[in-house]
Parts: sequence; C-alpha cells; structure tokens
Amino acid sequence: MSEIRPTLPAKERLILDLLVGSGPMYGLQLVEQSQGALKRGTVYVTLGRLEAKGFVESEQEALPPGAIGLPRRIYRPTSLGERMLRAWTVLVNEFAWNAVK
Amino acid sequence: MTRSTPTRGTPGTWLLKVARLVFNDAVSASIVVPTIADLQADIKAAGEDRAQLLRARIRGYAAFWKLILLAPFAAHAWTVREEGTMTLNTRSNGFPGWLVLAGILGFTSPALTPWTVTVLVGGLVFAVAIHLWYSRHPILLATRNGEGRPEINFSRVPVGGNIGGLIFMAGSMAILVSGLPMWRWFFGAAVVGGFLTAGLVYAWHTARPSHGLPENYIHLR
Repeated sequence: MSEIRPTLPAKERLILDLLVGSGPMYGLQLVEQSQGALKRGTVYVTLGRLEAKGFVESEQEALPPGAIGLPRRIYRPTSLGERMLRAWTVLVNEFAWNAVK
Repeated sequence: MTRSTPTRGTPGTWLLKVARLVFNDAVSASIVVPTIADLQADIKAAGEDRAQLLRARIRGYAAFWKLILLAPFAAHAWTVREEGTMTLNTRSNGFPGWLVLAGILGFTSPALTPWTVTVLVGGLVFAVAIHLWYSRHPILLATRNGEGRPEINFSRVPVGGNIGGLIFMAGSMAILVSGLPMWRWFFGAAVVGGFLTAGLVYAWHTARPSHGLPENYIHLR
C-alpha cells in the first residue's frame, strides 16, 4: 500500500510561494517570475503533483469566440496549500535553527 | 474532460497528436495541453518578429520534448485514481522510457538490432490496434484503490527503505548481470555513478540546511 506523505519539495514550495504572493498565474508566468528556478518543460509536472496533493487548483481560461489555439490553465493555491506552505516554512525554519544551534 | 483541437496549421497541432498517442487523457489535459498552449501563446506574442518567433518555437518545442523524455520518470505522479476504479490506459506512460532503452540496446549491441527493430515494430502495431479497439469499446477496469498496477517494469516494484529493500535490489541486479554479461560494465558504472550522485546530493543538502534534507523515497516509482 503506497503511503502519501505531506511533503513540500523546494520547487513545489517555490510555486506555492509565488501563487500565494502574487495571485493566480499561468504556468508560463510562474516560469518567468521564478527567474530561472522553474523550467518550461517541467513546471506542469510539478503543478500536476501539487494539484494531485490538493495544494493548488486550476481552471482553463475562457477563450474569446473565434480564437485559435488551446486554452491555457490558470493556477491558484487552495486553502490547504496556503496552510501547508505556512506549516512547512515554520518546520523548515525550526529544523534549520536547530541545526545551527 | 474538454478536448480542444486546434485548427490545422496552428503551431502545436502535430505535437498534440503525438501527445495523445503517448499520454492518457488526464496527463494530456493537465500537463501536455498547457505546455502546447504556452507554445502557442508565446508564438502569438512574438508577432511578426522573426527572431522572437524562432526563439518562441525553440523554447516551446524544447519544453514539449523534455516533457516526453521525463514522462516515464514522473508517470506515477500523473496517474489519476478514482474511488475504486481506474480508467484503462493503453497509452502507457512508460512508453518513451522503453523506447529510449530499446534504442540504446539496438544501437549499442549490433546483435540485438534485428530483435529490437522487430519488437519495436510489432509493439507499435499492437499498441495502435489495442488503442483503436479500446477507443471504440471504452471500459472501466476495477482495481483496488491506492495500489499500483502490476507491470513488467522494475520501476513499479515497491521496495522498502530498509535492509530487505537493499537485498532485493542487490539480488535483482545480480540476476540481471548474470543474465546479461555483456552489460556488466554498464551496471558497474551505474552503481559507481549512483553512489557519487547520492554523495553529491547529500553534501549539497547538508551544506544548505534551509533547503531541507533529501526526501527518503526508496519506492522506485
């Protein structure tokens, strides 16, 4: 039986940080705002994981009539994601402080 | 699930067709389609500027093919499980990984080339036939919730993060090495490379405690 652990790796934490700090964004905007920390080829994999964990939610943008192309997805943090980010930040700071001490 | 199909000639149309052959619907909708949508948005934003257009195309296509290469390694996280049921997915997420492995075997061992080509062509024909059949006869396959599907694939074998898991892995490698003596050098190099990488990752995380320690995921999935 696989066990789901409430973890928040660095990239997932960065995405949550950006979404909580700057509001809902497209994947490409996240890549641009991360200043090189997130890559276009992998950002949606990480967003997919975050969505599966329930930390973010997404919806397709509404295309205007007659628009050509695929609709993009816009991502926003869930309340669980915001709580997880706060809790994880406290946890990491606590461990870092203990390590220094 | 919404399945948007871009107009013929729109950048990314061909990529979307490739993606639908390789990925299941859930992965296509949540990961591949947004990647292609980004490519299209980038190209649209580039306007008539040729340099910008070329840059947008290169970045978009590179992102897509990187995704294809990553698929077998990240597949487990993309599987959508519903309560007690799982949609039958004939577009195995492991496909690109097996293709790469078959390519390496076929090109590095001439003796295996005819075998590799036969298996690839046969497998491809079989996969297309199965896919067409299931497209016309969609079914739901009942599986127990939360458990992996049985596959002939080492990455789907859960291994405990303890001495038992280590014995299992060592035993599996010993069987493989004895069965494929010509690949001993490869397994030896992989073990050495694995230890070096693990050491580097551990040292990196130890030097940066604020990033947290590496996660102890021994489950190979």
